[in-house]
Amino acid sequence: MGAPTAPLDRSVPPTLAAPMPYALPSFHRATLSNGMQMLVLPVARVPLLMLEVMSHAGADVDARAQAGRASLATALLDEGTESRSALEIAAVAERLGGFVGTGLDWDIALVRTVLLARHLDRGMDLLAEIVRTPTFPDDEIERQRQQRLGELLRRRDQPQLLARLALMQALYPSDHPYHGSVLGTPTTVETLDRAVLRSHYANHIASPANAVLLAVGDIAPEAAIAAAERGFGDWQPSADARPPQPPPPMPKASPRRVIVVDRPGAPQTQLFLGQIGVARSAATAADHPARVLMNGLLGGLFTSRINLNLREQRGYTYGASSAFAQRRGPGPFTVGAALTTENTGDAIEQVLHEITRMRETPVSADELEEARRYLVGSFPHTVQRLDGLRGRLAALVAYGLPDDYYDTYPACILDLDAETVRAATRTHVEPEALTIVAAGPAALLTPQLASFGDVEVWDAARAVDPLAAGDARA
Amino acid sequence: MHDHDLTLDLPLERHTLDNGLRVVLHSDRALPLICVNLWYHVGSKHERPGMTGFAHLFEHLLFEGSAHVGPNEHFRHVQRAGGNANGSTWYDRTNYYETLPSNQLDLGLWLESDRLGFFLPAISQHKLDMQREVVINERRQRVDNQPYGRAIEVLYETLLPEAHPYRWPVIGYVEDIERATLDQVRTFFQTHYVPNNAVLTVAGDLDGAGGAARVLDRIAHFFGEIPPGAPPPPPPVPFVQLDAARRVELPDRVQLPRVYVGATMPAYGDDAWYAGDLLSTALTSGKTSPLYVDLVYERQLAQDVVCYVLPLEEQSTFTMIATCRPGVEAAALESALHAHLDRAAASPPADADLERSQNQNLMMHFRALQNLDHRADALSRATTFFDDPHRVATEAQRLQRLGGDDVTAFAAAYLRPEQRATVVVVPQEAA
Repeated sequence: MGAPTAPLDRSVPPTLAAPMPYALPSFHRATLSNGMQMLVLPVARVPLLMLEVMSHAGADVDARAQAGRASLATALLDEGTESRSALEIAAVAERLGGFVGTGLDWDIALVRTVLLARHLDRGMDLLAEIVRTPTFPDDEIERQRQQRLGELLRRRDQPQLLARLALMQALYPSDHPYHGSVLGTPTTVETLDRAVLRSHYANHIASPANAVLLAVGDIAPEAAIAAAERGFGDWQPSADARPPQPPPPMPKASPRRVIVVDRPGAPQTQLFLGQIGVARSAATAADHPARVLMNGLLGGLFTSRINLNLREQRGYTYGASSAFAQRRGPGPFTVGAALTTENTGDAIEQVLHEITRMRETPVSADELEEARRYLVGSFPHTVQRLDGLRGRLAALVAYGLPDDYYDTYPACILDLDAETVRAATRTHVEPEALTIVAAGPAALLTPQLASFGDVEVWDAARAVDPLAAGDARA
Repeated sequence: MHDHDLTLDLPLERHTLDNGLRVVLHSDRALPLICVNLWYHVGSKHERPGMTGFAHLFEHLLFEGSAHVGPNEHFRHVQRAGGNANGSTWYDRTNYYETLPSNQLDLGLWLESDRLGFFLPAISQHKLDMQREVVINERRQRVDNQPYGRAIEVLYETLLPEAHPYRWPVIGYVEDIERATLDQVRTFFQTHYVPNNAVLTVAGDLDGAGGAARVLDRIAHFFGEIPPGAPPPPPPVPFVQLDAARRVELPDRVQLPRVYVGATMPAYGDDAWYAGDLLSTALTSGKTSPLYVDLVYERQLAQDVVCYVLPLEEQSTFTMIATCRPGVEAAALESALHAHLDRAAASPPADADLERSQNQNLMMHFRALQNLDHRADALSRATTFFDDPHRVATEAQRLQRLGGDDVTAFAAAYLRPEQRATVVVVPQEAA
């Protein structure tokens, strides 16, 4: 064992080294013969491969009366093709130890497979089959519908989800997609039939111009591009294909509402405060680093002001945090915590106090330095896994960001100063405008919340199903 | 087809300091990161009825500062360096870890050695009271205010006898957490937090931290002066099995009933454990697995079905969970789950299910080891439990060499009807 190199003085922390520059591994862009775009990121840490077709066909294209259409249509892509049944499709990937599946958020729809890298060709063929030849069998539609109705019913049990769903209804007008949820409601899910789902597919997914192919993993770019050309190069758009749809608009901000989702006897309260935030796009990209830094200091980091206040100083919660939702339309800014019910009123005061403090006084040099260095230094943590790398590429595609976005990001963060943080807080967070939602026992919460506005008391069913609001049904 | 031939290269060194601290070094230059991962061989099994949750509450206190690190400063130091830190408590162990830029290794070693060597001067009644509130809120958030939140607790209470060290939940019961005293904190620290009861893994870009020899020097520099202690032997954990089936109904604030079936089985590391793990994958992993096909896809009795074994050091558990579809009676799903377990003991899995499961386990192995912090944690675990970090690289092969007969033999030995505990969560009657 080597002897200590210098006497140890524990009272002096080790010298802080300069932040190390880290660049995302470089990726390749390709255009297939039909014009379809492809991004390939070769990385050889483990012998795995992730292939994905992402389409500009997220839940925000749904009309409100057909909420859940994009989600159900996307889920059915791998539930039957012209050559295989649902279980036969799954078996191709699962026998090889991998999986194939679909996904959907507000912005995009996707079909993905993860396999050992040696199965590149099989994976690409499988993706092409699913994306190009889905058949939407009636019995599979019914299966998926029943499962979704079960999931929608279960939402009534989940306090965090209930509070969040109620907040979205309060923030966004009823004709705005973000008023509801990507899954839709029990009422709308019942109405989605095969013709509706097929037309969603033909309008939004069956078009190479509306899709981007991602390949990440232990592969050579030339091999991945050649496989993609075989699978997708001759794919032509459907006759009904539409161009990518514009993002949801910025709605008029509504005044504060105060809502209790009643859960009689619940042992804790889930709180959210929120207002409409900012769209994620090339147009808002320049101010994005300032929002990330401001949010980190306010509620994004463990050492953020809100978390230290509510958790470490007061013991009200296991953790409080804030976030700007990343969506191509103006998603919400939210602050959330699961709290001791009797402390909910004071917790709201504390959150508003911390926001006001950040709007009025510049953050200290220490806080600023800590958050900037954290955001830059922790970047490589987020790209250890294939799905982390995939997420970085997907954000470029979904929000139309430039290819060198991640190369310039660290310098942008390190350049920000305390005045910029203060200005960002003033621009994006208004304490008087924040809508307040608390899911917990109304009998204990209503008196605590009365000083913030007129308290509306909802039941869980209303929070889960916006269309049930004002409806006579129980 | 099998993909047996694929293995992951995990270059390792292991050392032991004079004070008994075991050290594992793993070099991986893929990213400019380094992980400091410290396992203490103390968990909830070292507690007693009446002091449940103590090991976890103690973990919280270890983040509240030490002689040279002020309150909240642990996270501040790590974030300022561009790193992440956390810890967790489990039945057999407590871990603490930092993932840092590789030029910040000393910071992780300084923080971890300060709380191992100089924790006691920093504790206070106020810190204990505050973290007690945080932990009670953690329990409410994760257990009491979640649908089905208490089901696993009740399953273990049903499966294991009074005072069995795996019987109570790691997070503990509220009345016990409320009872914890500062004296107990001191005694617990002095008993369990000694270098010879710990494993330190440093993994990642060792070259970026000055090379393996320097890393080892720095470890000795920070940890070498901390004196060893005499950790007590772990509590005896008798291997128990039910000899008569037990069943409990648990009313909860839920819309859909859910069925939990559990049984005890041999410890992690035993050949039978891997057979149990393979069986769990064969039964429920993926859309083509027999339980998914039967219960979710064809008969549509279930919203979902899952099955898993825990990697526990003394004896483990096999657990199966399925949620009813709306309108389905719990009894129908319950009897279907038991019938599948009966079948597992009567005949081996189909060849296609065995092939799928072995390939899935290999993929899971690779996917889990993508993260440096998961690798470091796996190395600490293999060293703590088996004194052999090399087991991480060979873990997948242990599963690959098992066949269908091993799976059947496992089910026949450990999943017989009289060995099973069942908990059925049912919707509470409306008030």
